[in-house]
Amino acid sequence: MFKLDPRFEKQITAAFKQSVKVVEEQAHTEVKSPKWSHPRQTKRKNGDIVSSPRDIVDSGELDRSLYSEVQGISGEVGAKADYAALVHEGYTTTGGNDVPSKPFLKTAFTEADRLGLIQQAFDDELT
Amino acid sequence: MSIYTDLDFLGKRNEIESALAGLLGTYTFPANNNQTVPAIAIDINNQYPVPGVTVEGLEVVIRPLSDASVSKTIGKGRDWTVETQIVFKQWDDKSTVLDAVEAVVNYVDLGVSFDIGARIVPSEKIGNIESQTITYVERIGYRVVG
Repeated sequence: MFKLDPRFEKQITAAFKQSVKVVEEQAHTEVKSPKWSHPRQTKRKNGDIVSSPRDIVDSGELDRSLYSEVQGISGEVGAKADYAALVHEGYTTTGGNDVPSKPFLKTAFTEADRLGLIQQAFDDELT
Repeated sequence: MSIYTDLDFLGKRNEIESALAGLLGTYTFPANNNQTVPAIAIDINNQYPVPGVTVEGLEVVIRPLSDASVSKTIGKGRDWTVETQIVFKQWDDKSTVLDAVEAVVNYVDLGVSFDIGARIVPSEKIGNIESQTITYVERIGYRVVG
């Protein structure tokens, strides 16, 4: 049976945990970035009037609700705010207005250099 | 059969329509003698359905995302991909999008990867209809860097 060198296994595990954290950090960046298109001006609860592109910060609840956790070889990054899915996926009102998706988690996953950390662990082991 | 091996959006539309036989709702065009057609459309600029058109039942909107994306892979590679969203909207509050999503996912070639977004359920507070989005990711190239 193939068995990893314990030192290398420890290194890879640490890199994986760090990569999950990097995705969460990127999710915070995505939420705060004024990059999201929206078809209309909006007056936010905090009094700001915003147009497009915009960030996704009003009360700050969504940003504060971002979390990450690692269990074994599984990692999860998510948002606990009860309206997070509506923001992430977008929705259509009964009147026919489309509110576009603002996929802050999906873009965090693609934008974060999560694989770079794991690649570095491999490179360190091989050199 | 593979329905996602090229960028033939009209072909995709027709094949998705076949996969959703009996599930699709209707678009009605008042300006065209109330002509009724299956409620499935390719929407390039988030402008569908056009004003005046009424929708009943399940609507499916295919949205090609314009930019190819490049993502890093282990081994110093780069994946080049394009994405297409398929948005399911249920205008009948007594039905759901579940059967339609399952029908399309089951119809797709297994060699293609896709993300299934969260199902957005109707909320009186928000005033929204039920919807769900599938994003198909087509790999159009791979390159090793350095």
